[in-house]
Amino acid sequence: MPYTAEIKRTNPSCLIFLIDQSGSMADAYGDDSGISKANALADVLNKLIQNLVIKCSRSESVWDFYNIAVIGYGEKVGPAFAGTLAGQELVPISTVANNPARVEDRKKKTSDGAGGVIEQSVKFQVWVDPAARGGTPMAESFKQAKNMLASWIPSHADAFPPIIINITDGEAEKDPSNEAAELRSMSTLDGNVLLFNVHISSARSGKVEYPDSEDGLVDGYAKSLFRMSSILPEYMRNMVAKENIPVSDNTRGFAFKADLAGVIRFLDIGTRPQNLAR
Amino acid sequence: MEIKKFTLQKDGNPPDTCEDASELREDTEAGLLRTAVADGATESFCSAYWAKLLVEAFCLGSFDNDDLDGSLLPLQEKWAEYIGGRELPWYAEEKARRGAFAALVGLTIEPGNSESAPEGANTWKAFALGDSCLFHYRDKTLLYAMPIKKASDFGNDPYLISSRQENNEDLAGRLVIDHGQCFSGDLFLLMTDAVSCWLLQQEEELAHPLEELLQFNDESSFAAWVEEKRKLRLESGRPVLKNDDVTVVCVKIGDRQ
Repeated sequence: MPYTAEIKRTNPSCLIFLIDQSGSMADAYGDDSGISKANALADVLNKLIQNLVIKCSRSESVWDFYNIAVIGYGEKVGPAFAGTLAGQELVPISTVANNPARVEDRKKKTSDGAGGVIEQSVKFQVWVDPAARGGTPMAESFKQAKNMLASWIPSHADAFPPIIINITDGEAEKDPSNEAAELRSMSTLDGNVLLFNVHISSARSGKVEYPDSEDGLVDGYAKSLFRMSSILPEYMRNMVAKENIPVSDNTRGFAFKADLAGVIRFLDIGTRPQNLAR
Repeated sequence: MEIKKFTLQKDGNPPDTCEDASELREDTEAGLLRTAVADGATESFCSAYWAKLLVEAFCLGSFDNDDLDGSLLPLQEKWAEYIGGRELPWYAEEKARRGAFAALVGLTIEPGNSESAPEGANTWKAFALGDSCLFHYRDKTLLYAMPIKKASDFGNDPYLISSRQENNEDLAGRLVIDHGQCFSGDLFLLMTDAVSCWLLQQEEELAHPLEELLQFNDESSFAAWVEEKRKLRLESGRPVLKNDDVTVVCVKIGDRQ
């Protein structure tokens, strides 16, 4: 059965995040916070990486269950890690863990247990900086992801298939359908590479999450992104169903006009392992 | 009493990473025996040490009362002391803050002392929180299983005992306790979840898992059996025995002295 390989140190898997860094990402998200989509996305991605590192930690070290890459596409297309990891493509998660670009002091509001709120200082590790400049060369980012996997897959034939999550706020300059198809056609012995697309928007309506057909999609671009997205493997379908979202055998890893909570949920479902060696 | 104990870490891991713990204390004069098995949750911090604290406390009789939270307090303090003062990397600090978690199953055997108890009867008392299980066999027939009774009830999210009290919501409500009578020749198995699930699946298919488990006389024959079961696949593609730390404690009730 596909997508059942155990992810372990002797059989790690891959997660590649493709992030839109085009000019329009400078616009506010539309949720009254006033922060830009680029800032919101960088925060969500950094938090996700923190959680992935913690998930892979065992005692005082981090076990290399994953190799992680972040590719930004905007004014240019390339690896988006900042700091000491700048320019690096697929990086073992233990190396990611020990090399944040910086650690920020952030304030977190928590309940004081007596109806009030207190501010706690928390450390926030940053690996990716927000960026918003230029066009949307999505096809080129798919091509770079493909090249990374072409080098990685041959020496990891038994791996749980790599997962690629593309986060974009707009239309690609050039139709990336062919490049997307090439990515989805790559595979390990445990199944095909999974490509999921989440489109983020400041619009307050028209949200679609995990559709199983393009019939409900009005926008031509939404239909094209839907077609570029992989069908969800069963264990992910079950996670989506638990969120009370209707699913079928044709449900794809795709969301359109997702709000921030939707992006967070999308990333969580896309990266939560089914079979991480305990 | 005849007691056997076997343990094996997950495939691919060195032996010192095993997060199962087990303990046994026998007071032959009083005819009292206590044994416990705990399964530390891998993703939590220092869970092997927490599992060890739990089984030791059980076997000292620390849980023989109605105050579960009170019984846990000194153990939680001990765990916190063990962690405190260590300089940890940021990801370990976050995990340490979240605490350790473990499942616990314990068995107490004492002489049956009520006037209505049949001759030769002992009393067994079981205590379980989480997905480590106890099984009571007589003449190779499974009489009783707790806290989980069906293989399909094993999930990935059991409720576990935490070394940080703020995580222990309504622990007393989740605790499963029971008691009954047992006689010479009866067998009790205390096991962690992967092998417990296997046993229940076998029982549901009318196979004879007990015979398989009783065949081992040493750790290496047990290890070979576990490794084989981990490689075999069910129809669904899943392994017959999930790759996880495995612990089996087997207690055979002897004649009363």
